[in-house]
Amino acid sequence: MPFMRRRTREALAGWIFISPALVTQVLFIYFPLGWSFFVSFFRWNLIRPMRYIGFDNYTSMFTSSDFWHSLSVTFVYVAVTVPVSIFIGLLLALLVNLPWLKGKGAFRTFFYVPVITSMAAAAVIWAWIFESNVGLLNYFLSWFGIKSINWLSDPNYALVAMMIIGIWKRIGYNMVLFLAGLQVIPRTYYEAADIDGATPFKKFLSITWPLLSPTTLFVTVMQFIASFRVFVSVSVMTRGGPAQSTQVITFYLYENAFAYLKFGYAAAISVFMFVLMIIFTLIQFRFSKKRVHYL
Amino acid sequence: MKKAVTTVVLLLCAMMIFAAPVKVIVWYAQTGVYSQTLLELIDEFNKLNEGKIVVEGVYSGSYEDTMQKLVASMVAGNLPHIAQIEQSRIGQFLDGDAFQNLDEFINKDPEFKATLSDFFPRFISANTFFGKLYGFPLNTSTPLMYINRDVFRAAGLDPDNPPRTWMEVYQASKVIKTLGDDFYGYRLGDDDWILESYAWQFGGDIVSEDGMTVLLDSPGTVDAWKFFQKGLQEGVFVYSRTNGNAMDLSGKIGMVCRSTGSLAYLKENAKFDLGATFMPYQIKKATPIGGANIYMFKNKPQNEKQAAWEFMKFVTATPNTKKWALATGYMASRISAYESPEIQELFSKDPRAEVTYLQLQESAFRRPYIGPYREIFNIMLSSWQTIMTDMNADVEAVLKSATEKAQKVLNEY
Repeated sequence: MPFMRRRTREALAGWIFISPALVTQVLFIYFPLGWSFFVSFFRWNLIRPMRYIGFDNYTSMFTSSDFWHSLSVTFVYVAVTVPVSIFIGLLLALLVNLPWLKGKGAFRTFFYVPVITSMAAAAVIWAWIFESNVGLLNYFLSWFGIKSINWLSDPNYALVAMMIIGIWKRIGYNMVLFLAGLQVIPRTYYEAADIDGATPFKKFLSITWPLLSPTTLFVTVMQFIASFRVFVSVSVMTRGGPAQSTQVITFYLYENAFAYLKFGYAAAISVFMFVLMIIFTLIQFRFSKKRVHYL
Repeated sequence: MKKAVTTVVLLLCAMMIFAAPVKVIVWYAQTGVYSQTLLELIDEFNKLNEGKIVVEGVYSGSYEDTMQKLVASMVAGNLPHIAQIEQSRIGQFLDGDAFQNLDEFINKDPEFKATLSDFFPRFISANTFFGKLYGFPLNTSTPLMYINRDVFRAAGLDPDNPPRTWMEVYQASKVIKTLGDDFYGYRLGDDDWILESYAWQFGGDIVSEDGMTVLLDSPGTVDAWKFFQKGLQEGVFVYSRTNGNAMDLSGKIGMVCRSTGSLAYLKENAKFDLGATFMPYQIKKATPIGGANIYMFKNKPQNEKQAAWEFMKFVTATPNTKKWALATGYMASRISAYESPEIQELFSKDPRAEVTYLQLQESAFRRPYIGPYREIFNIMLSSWQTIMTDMNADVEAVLKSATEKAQKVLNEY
């Protein structure tokens, strides 16, 4: 295209190159994002026409005990699964990084398998494991004299069951990221520490942990967002019950939208979640500025 | 000349359009033998109406998925002509005036109108809203009480004289409990229509007839829930949320209420002498009509609706509802089918299959269907789960707060 100026030509080529990604992003992310913001000011069940109601959805959301309940259930879930999955992920990463360990590849693969397993399929299998009479978990616990637990029927345990699945699903992901983090730490630091006679624990505390901090920050943010959005396991296994004990915010949103057909209200919840995520991510970045050491 | 050619071409096009068979889309929400039977009926219909009407059956997922797809397709403007929708999920469609009033077709069709009284009247009244008929029964059922006759005999109870009232269920359960610690008289679960029945059978209710007042804290409902909680406290009942099938087949459960549609499954898998009887009552004999009906959507061209109407008539005609009932175990919707030799023969072979029909004629009611019912039911369900898992929970207080919460939902709807 000789009639175009070089700059224009380059710009055009650039736009063409990003267009597949841009179009899908705009169509499936940014447009729905804006649309749900818009819908949150309406009353709409998709059957009758939309009706503008201002901030009513937001006020009824903030005055709904169910909303606060599901938010607190979600926070409990996040507060447990994020640290535990990071801790176990880091532990596994350190283990499969041991120089003398045989079959590292196999271990790494095994631990990573849950990450790529479809959650819907895994949840069905976990439902069997958690089954109270013939389930594997209760059988295993019976070796230690623990009486059979109604994992999915008891309001005190159902959320614990969801946490176990969440952690199981995510440790592989954390492990791989930590592994990558561990491998970029230069060996020279450890060699120097060896000369100084540092113990392995001391080396971990003074070299590994600080230098892993960018990875830790990334993993924390990712896990926080993922945990906050827990949905499939709840939807497949408990449907928010028993007695709302596993009613996480995403499931609350889903039910309002697709079971009760309150799309405006559900949109308001999603806007709230969106804002909350942004705030938390900003806090995490701000908080970690002082504590993250880049190489 | 040119003009003439154009006219001819246009005419030909028009003829082709009008000559093309009318296409009718039917969404169905079941799989296995149910969809197979329905698809066979569709094939038969298409053969009979070759060149005129083509019905296409499309699987739309579970009852809940079907709802979601229906509302989405409503926005997108490509609804099916007919859909199979579960009893308690139709409220918002009714309120949104989405269904076709079938009386418009019935009144123009005297031949069919004459056969309307052949439907079981309870099915027609269950599909009549504001005095208009909106749907036809397709897969309908009522819950039965299944009993383990072996357990009854072992406990010294008479399996041919099973409990008729809930008090008798409780007394029999106490006797069954003496068989061992892991034996239970009655199994409780989470099923919506069974929970509705409990309330009705103790003289209580869930929502008032006019759909304006939540009645979860009515004395009957409170009594029912207290009754079941007491049975649980004493260990003569058992509550299972997720593994009902395994428990029912374990041979340690004396009685359980499940759909008549479970009969085939239980017969095949139970390793004990299985009995089936009427669902118990206490104050009032009341059983819900469960399953789904077929509805036509209003917002379609008249000729397509006419074709859809032909299909609705076909599916509910005596030979076809009979075929459906024999193949699936659901109820035939017409009395003539019920009285047919084939179905009567089935009853003489297995009297358990007839219980649901007797129950239908005696005590079957329409389930709650109002627009916000799914949300109200979920409030009720979560309270039920509290009662079932917390033996110290105060039924009255739980139901009172559930009523307040549900009433708020109702008011805001």
